[in-house]
Amino acid sequence: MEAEKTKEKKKHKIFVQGPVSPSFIADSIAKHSTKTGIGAHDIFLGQVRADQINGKTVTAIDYSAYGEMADEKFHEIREAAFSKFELSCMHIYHSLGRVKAGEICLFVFVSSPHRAMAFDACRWIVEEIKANVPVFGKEVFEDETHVWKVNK
Amino acid sequence: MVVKLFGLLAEAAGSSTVEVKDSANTQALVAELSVRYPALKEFRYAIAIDRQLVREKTEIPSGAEVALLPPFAGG
Repeated sequence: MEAEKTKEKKKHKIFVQGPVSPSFIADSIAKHSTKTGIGAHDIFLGQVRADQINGKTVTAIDYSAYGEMADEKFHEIREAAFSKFELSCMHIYHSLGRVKAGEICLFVFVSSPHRAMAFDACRWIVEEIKANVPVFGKEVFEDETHVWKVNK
Repeated sequence: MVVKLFGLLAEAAGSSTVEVKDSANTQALVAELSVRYPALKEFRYAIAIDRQLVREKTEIPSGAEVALLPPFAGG
């Protein structure tokens, strides 16, 4: 059982090319119906905002990453989340490449027997991702000029 | 030694890697970079050695994977 779990953790891929689709999110939820020890799911969805910067509107973000380091960081966050919170399972998906304003670029999905742990873990994981995972974002305007995004 | 660049640093240097003289530590590396690639001086960046961020002056082991990282923008 432990070996199975480790194997599952290793093959879990976090980066997806382009936006995370709502149907993918729905399918992920559906897959948990057999895990009846779960009493609470919490989901965070990051969506690309059409910010106004110097009179221009952001139409998309182009994401890139330091892939090998990001994978290590995601793994550390995952291990820490499982030891800190009582979780049944967790999934993280982050976009690479172009994601248009209004589309989903981050999907964090945690499940627990009870709601308090699900809420706490989800928030903690999102903050850890924003602070520690080397992902870079180029905010692209209508005229294809761009600025580089910085997390606040 | 080869140094990996990401995001706006890669854009500023016009390449995702730069070649510099072997540097014994991060302080020497920063000095070397600012001579060879003055464009990088404009930016705030962090240094990762073997995929770990280092904050203070740190030795760079021979053959280490060295990367310059601009501010993160995940999520």
